[in-house]
Amino acid sequence: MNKDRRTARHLVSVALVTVALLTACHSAVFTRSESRVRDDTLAREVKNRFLEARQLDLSRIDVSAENGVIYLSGESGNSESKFVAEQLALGITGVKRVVNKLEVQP
Amino acid sequence: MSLRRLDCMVLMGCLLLSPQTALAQSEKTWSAGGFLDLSYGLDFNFPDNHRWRSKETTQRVNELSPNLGYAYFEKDPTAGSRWGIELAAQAGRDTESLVPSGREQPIGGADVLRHVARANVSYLAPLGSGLTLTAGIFRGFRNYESYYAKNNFNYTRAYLTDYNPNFMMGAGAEYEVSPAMELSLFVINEYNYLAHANNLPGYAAVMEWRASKHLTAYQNLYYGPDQQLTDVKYWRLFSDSTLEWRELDWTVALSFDVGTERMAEQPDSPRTFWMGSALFTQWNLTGPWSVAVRPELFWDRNGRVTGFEQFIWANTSTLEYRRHFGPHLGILRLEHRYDRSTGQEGGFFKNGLTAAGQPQLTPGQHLIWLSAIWALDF
Repeated sequence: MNKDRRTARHLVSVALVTVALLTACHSAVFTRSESRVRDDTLAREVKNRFLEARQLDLSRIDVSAENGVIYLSGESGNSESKFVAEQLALGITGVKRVVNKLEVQP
Repeated sequence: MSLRRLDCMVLMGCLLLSPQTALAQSEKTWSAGGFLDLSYGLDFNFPDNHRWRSKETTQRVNELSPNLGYAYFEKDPTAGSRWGIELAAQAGRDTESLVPSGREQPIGGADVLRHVARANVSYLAPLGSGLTLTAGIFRGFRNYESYYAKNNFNYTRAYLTDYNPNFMMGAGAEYEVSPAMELSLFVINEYNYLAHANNLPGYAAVMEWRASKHLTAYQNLYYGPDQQLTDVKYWRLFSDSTLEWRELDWTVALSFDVGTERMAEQPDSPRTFWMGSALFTQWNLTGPWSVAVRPELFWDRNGRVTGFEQFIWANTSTLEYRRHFGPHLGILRLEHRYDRSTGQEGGFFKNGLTAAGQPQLTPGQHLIWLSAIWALDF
């Protein structure tokens, strides 16, 4: 009986958390503000630059944008490609600043 | 005050507090930081031992689990300053299974060394486009999924990630053949860097090749002795291959692992064999929201790596919210996975004990994970 109660409690908790997260997701995905649209466009442009550059070390970089600031994270093979990634991102119109969190993995 | 305005103020506050964002980023050759990884995994089998059978990471279920804490300092080797150093410490549930148990003997001090994630020096030699030499404890294979959940599409790792050499101890050389291709060779102590079966080294090779705008290939190879008897016929051969296709909003990568080794201690030295495959997919919905789906399978024909003869297949679906605030990064993930293990010794723990006093097993396992990761980089 105790096990059934515990199971029920777990299920209710998970269901509540799931509903809350999905609601948040729904509102975030389907009610995009103007700044969100701008940031998404910027992030796509940076990703496209990295794809076009065809350098190995630019293939595994995560790009996100917040209010015109570009965040680069993930891995980079050397400090030179870390620099190149930053310069490519800075070259895009509308990018205010680049926060470079790329980790160089020897 | 609108939520968006509050959001902007928080972001501005973080940026103002960040010394990193005020500097010219590219001039920095050192970095430091860390992350915390906390999760709760609900296993609908409610095992009494709170364990996920045959799993190396995220082993604990039905309890709040501090899976990993990580802190690092690194100085990159550059043309202007050719020496580099990487130091990182780690702690948490995920590090417990790094210390070998069962058939493998741990090296002396393994229980302390599991907390050392990186301890290496590197030198960028002025040769061609740059030859980087590294020695110490460093990152293992370039398998598609990282040992650290922070860097992945999903929260829980695939079985093939768990059973890869995620860390290596020894020395290596990495050379950039072209801007699209890198080759690395390593001489290391063992497949499992905290195991000690003999005093002979093992050998590893890594190739990364960006074949086209969208396609990248990764190939890792290991060949070496991992048993007390070190005849070449007992050496382990392991291969990990990945093909990745990357578009602006989505990424798909297919990994395939295969390993084999003759068992020296058993009559007739039978050949053991294991293989795994996973399809990593992620779609960026908008801004910080992404979804990821990962079907996978793992076959341990002789129980050589998981300890049990079994065939596992699983599917993992993840909803992710990932957001940067200045030097901070927050990641929330909600994940469902279903695992099925069949075979002579297959199964997952469930509640209750057998007549022999062992935990009962069941072939299927539904899990829901809620995870929070906070990272800070300077």
